[in-house]
Parts: sequence; structure tokens; C-alpha cells
Amino acid sequence: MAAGKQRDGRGAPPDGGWGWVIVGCCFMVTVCTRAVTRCVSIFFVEFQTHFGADYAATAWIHSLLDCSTMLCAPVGSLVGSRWSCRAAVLVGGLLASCGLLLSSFATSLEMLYFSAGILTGLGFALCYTPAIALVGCYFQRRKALAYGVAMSGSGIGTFVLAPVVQMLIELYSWRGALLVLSAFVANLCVCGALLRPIALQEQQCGRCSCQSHVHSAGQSESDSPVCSGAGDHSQQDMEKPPKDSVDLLAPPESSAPKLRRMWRLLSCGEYRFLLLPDFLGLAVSFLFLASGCSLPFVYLVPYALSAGISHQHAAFLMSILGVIDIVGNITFGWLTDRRCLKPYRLACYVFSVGMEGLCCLFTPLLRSFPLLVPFAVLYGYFDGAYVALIPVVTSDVVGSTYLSSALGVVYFLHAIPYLVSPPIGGWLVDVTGSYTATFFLSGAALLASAVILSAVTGICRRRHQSDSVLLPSSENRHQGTRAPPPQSV
Amino acid sequence: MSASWKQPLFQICLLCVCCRHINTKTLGSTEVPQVPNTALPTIVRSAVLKGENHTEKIQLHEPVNLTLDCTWTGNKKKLPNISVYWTKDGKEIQDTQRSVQLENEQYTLKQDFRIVSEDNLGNYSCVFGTEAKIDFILAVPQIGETRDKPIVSYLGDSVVIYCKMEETKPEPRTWIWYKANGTDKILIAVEPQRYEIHNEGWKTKLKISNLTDEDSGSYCCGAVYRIGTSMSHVELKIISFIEPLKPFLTILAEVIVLVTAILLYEKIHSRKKNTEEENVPNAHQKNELPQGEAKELEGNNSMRQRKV
Repeated sequence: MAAGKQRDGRGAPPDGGWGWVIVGCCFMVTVCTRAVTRCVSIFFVEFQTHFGADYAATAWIHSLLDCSTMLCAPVGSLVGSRWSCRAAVLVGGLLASCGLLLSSFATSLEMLYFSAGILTGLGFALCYTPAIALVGCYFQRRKALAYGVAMSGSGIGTFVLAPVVQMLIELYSWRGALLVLSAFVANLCVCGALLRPIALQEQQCGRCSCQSHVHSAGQSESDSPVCSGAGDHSQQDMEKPPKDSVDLLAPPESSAPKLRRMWRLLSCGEYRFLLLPDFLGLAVSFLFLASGCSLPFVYLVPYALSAGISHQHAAFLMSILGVIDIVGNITFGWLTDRRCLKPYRLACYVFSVGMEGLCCLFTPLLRSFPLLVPFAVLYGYFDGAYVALIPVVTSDVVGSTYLSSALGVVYFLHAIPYLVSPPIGGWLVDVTGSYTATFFLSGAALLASAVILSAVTGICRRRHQSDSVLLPSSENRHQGTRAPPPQSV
Repeated sequence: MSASWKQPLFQICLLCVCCRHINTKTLGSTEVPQVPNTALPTIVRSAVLKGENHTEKIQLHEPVNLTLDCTWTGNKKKLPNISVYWTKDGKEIQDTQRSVQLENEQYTLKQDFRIVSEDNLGNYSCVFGTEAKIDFILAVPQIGETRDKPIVSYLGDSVVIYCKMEETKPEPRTWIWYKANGTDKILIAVEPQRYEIHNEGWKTKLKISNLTDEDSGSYCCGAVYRIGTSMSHVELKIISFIEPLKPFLTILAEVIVLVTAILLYEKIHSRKKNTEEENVPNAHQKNELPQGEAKELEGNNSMRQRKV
């Protein structure tokens, strides 16, 4: 089978060609999901007037939407792996469009919670992860740049959609605006149709970077069969099922405990990367990251107003943040693709998260507009930087094969901190009477994320080095190290 | 004996005249109620004019005794006497003209006014001869935040119109709503299933249900104070559901056309690729591949097509 595939000539990721179409589609997907999520908050004033609710009740819509997009990310990646990215994004686009369509006919706030919150969020989740995962399959050499361009959709989309949504509300009131927005979100189906599946060579399917786990799984060369059914959506899906999954498909023994079955699923199935110490460290650092990163966006404007800055200047700060976010996405992606920086991509990621944390820690000292502008520039740049690098770092750790499932888990880990940390930040503001504690919490969480990740990586690398000294040299060649394989550079 | 009935008659007549006089007196007193001056608070507002014109805005929300104090520093002429008078809304107020001396390089003038009703509000000016003028604009607190864009709503739907007075200004006693019909204003009364009015201190809310085309137009909310009412307009526009349906259907049509075109293209493209691949390996490997593997390849190809 391997011989036949190589003759197909579809081995290496194209790093261009149809790949750029995929990047464009991912850009549109990010616009239609993340930017629309942010623009939903423009409707709040209208909902408050029409339904007679207060700010907290209407803010739940945005939280539900964001949370369900992230919580259902594993579902999205599962659908993308089992069937195809195309099917996942098509179905997701349909669901999200229906959700917004239902919202335009809403007669109560509870109906809005369901249609605009949960249904639309589920649709977005089905689109977001598969599209991002597919970009990783199409690019190897210019992965960070491709991701930078793709993720800049949220910033550019917010910039463009916000005035458009405002104009739609003025012309057609919120019902008409939601109707037109649902048609706009239906463009996700167009993006989905363009997501052509790709077949990748086995070696590129990516290997476990921590060598100890490879040995415990008892497979080294025969990793490839496990690639079937995972993120590639290629003809590998159609291969003969490997021995391990045959065991899974066999009727379970009545005496086998549930735990052993789950362990087998984890260690041999799609989610085996969950047991990688590297990935576990990454996951914990993502938890802290998600707790810290959303707070400054929510509390910058109220903090600026409390420091005596005018409304226009505070709004200008948010605009600066948004625009520099886009710049950070693209330039940092391009930078980390340079040959000199590529081996140190994880270090660049840790650096950008650490810098964000430091910026947050210094915020309570900045109490005037000229001082907050550099903060907005720096924070926005590094925020864009780490957002572009999340999928890159994840794919470096778990490899292209499991990228889809891994991204699903990564975004799932973002969900609860996104939901929980703004209210905690608000509670801190109420209790302490100032924004210092909130910004300290945010900075501490970001710094903790950076520290944990560098610590785990350092330990893993040291263990890897000490193990590779013991192993025979022939097997060293086949270990997936953090340094990229020669052909990709 | 004839004189005896004349006297009581005369007395009765006198009594009647007296009573009538008393009656008219009491009637007269109820017709012209005298509000005791001591019940009104007194406010003093003063302004100093250095040039030729100056305007001072005074916000009133209840009846007061207002004392307006004008001071003018004079001009080059420095006349020892100048005649001043007061005007209201451009018309001179009777019995206010007097002559003012130049003291300490300035002319000073004071006048008391009783402001008890909306007619008493307006533009009061103290005019120094023909040289200078200070304007005092007396008004009820104005509603600051007005929505300049029209509120849009749909036929058969309901709409909520808000009016809000800034909380730094005095709280209105109540709110009233009017619908403007040309130059007339029609008072809106609460009707079940149609109009609902909720007043809460500085805010008021008018909810109109079962909207029809006639409901579109200008609505006025009035903040009622003891001294007058402060008005603000809101425009309501009723549109049918067809309006947003047009862009919606356009974009949906574009999406459907593009999706169908792309999926068709992809199907043709992959079918072409499959036939190419089938031909190429079959040509090279007819003799090389064992039967099983060739079947597998074909099986894969057909399954691939099914997947797309």
C-alpha cells in the first residue's frame, strides 16, 4: 500500500497552490465565526430595549455563543476526521445560519439563548476546528505564515463587520440585521465546499516527540496504521483497519473493565496524543492562557474610563488593539517561518505569551492615554502573535495526523476559562474597587502559562536527550524531534 | 302707620345691598387667588457684561421668585446716566424703564420676576440704552440624549420607545407621550394590547403593539415639571418584512449557486483524476500487481468518489 501511495505522487504538503485557497477559506471561516461572535455584542442595546432585560442577562448570549463554540470543538474535529472537513464545515455553516435565522424571529430572551447561543455556537464549532486543521495539512514549510493569514480573519472581520452590522441595525432593526447576518454566515458553506481533502505521506503523519511514549506503545515504524481515521481525511481512511483498531472493533469482552477499554482507546486510537507529557504540559499551559487572555479585552475600556480617559480615547485604544492584533498575526507568522527562527518556534510562542503577561502586570501603573497606547500596541501585537502560533505549536507537538483532534481538545480547554474568567475579573473589581487585581490576575495567569510550558518542554527535552544517548543510532533518525525533519526546511 | 312698613323695607333693601356687596367681594376674592409671596423660593442670578452681548441659561423646574442682576462695565462713552429696560422675548416689559448711574465704573440693574407658569419662561433681556444687552434664557431642563436616527420596526411587531432625562437634572414629576400629526399633537392614552406607558423617575418607556403603517411618524415624550414640560422627538419607521428579505435572498442565492458550482466542479475534477490514476497504474502494473491489490486499488477509488 505504501508503495502504491508514493507512486501517486501526493506525498508532501503542497505549501502553496490549492493550499492558498484553503488559507483563504480558513480566513473566511474565522471571519464568519470569531468576528460574528464579537459583533453579536452590538445587538445588546437593542435586545435590552426590546426585551426589557438588563446588561447581565443579554451578555449571557455572547458567553453562550463563545462557550459552545469552544466546548463543541472536539465534536467538530471528530466529524472532520470521521467524514471530511468539507462535510463538517458544510453542516456547520447550515446549522449556524439556521441558528441566526431562528434568532431573527425570537420572541423572548430565552429563545435567543438557545438559537443565537447554543445552536449557532454548535455550527461555528463544526466549522472552526476542521478548517484550521486542514491548513496544517496543506502547509509545512510556511505553516506559521499560513496560520497567521488565516487567523487574521478575526481581527479584520471585526474591523469590517462592526460598522456593517451597525448600519444593518439602523436600516432594518435587529430582526432584519440578524436575517441578513444569517445569509452572510451561510457563506461558510461556500468555504466548506472548497476544502478539498488531501492525502499525506505516512512519514509526515507526525510522530510522538517524547520517545518514551513511543516505546511504551510498542510501535515505532508501524505508527502509520494509526494514521487512519485521524486528521487526514485522505485515502488513508480507506485502508485496511490496523490491528489495534481491529481489536477495538471486536466485540468487547464482558469481563473487560471499562477503564481498560478507555485506556486502549486513548493509547491506540485517535486521542493517543493526550498521553504525551509534551501535550499534557501544553494543555495545562493553555488552561492558564485562556484564563488570562480574555480579561484585558473586557476590562481595558472600563479601566481607561476609570483612569479619567475620555470615551473616544478609550474606543480608540480598542481599535489600536484590534488593528495591531492583525499585524501581529501576519508578521509573527512570517517571522517564525524564517529558517533561523523555525527550530525555536516554541520559544517564540513562550516569549510572546510571557511578554503579554508582563504588559498586563504593568497596566495598573499606566493611568493616562499616552501611556496606555504603547500598552495597547504591545499587548495587541503579542496577542496576535500567540493566536497565530497556537495551531503551529500544537502541530509541532502532536504532528499533522492528530492535528484535528488535538486542536479540538485545545479549543475545548479554552471554553471554561473564557466563560468563567470575565465574571471573576468583574467580582475582583467589585470587591477591591479597582482594576489592579484583575490585571494582576491576568498577567499572573499568562506568565504561569509561559513558565509551565517552558518547564515541561525543558524536562521532556532533557529526558529525550538522555534517552537518545542510550538508544541505538538507527532509531534516532526516525524520532520526531522538535527540530524539523530535513526535507521540510 | 304708613311710615312703619317703609322703614323695615328700607332696612331690608339696605341689607340686600350690603349682602350683595359682601357676596361680590367674596366671589371676587375666589376668582383672583393670591399666592402668598412667602411660599415661593427666591433665586438670584447675576451676569456681568464686558462686551456688547452675553447670554446666560437658567434651568428652572418649579415656581420661583427670580431676581436677575445685570452688571455692565460700560463702553468708551462712559455716560453718567443710561436708560435701561427689560424685555421678554423681544417685547418690552411695561414699567421697567429706569435710569441707572455709573458707579465704580459700572452700571448695575436688578429686577424681580415671579416665574410661576410656562408663560413666564422665555428670553428675558436687560437692555442698556441701545449699546448693550444681557440675555437670560429661562427654560425647563432639556432632554439631552435624543436619538437622531429613526427607530425601525415591522408590521405586526411591537416596538419600545425610550426617553431618558439625565440624572444630574431634576427628576420629572411625570412623563407624557404625544403622537405628532402634522402640526397637532395627540395625547397617547394607555390602551390594552396597543399602548403601554411605564414611567420610572428619569426614564419613560412607550410600548406600541400590533404595529400598522399609520403608526409611523414622530412621537414626542414630555418630561412634566411644575413649571412646564420639556419635549423631545423620536421618529418611528414601520417597514414590511420584505425589506430585509431582499438582501437575505440575494446572498442566499449567491451561496447556493457557488456551492453547487464548486461541488460539481470538484466531482468532475476528482472523477477525472480517478480515471487518470486507474489508467496509469493499470497500464503499468497489469502484469505486476497480484489480483488482490488491483481490486483493492479499484475499491479505494470507488470509495473515494463516494466520500466526495
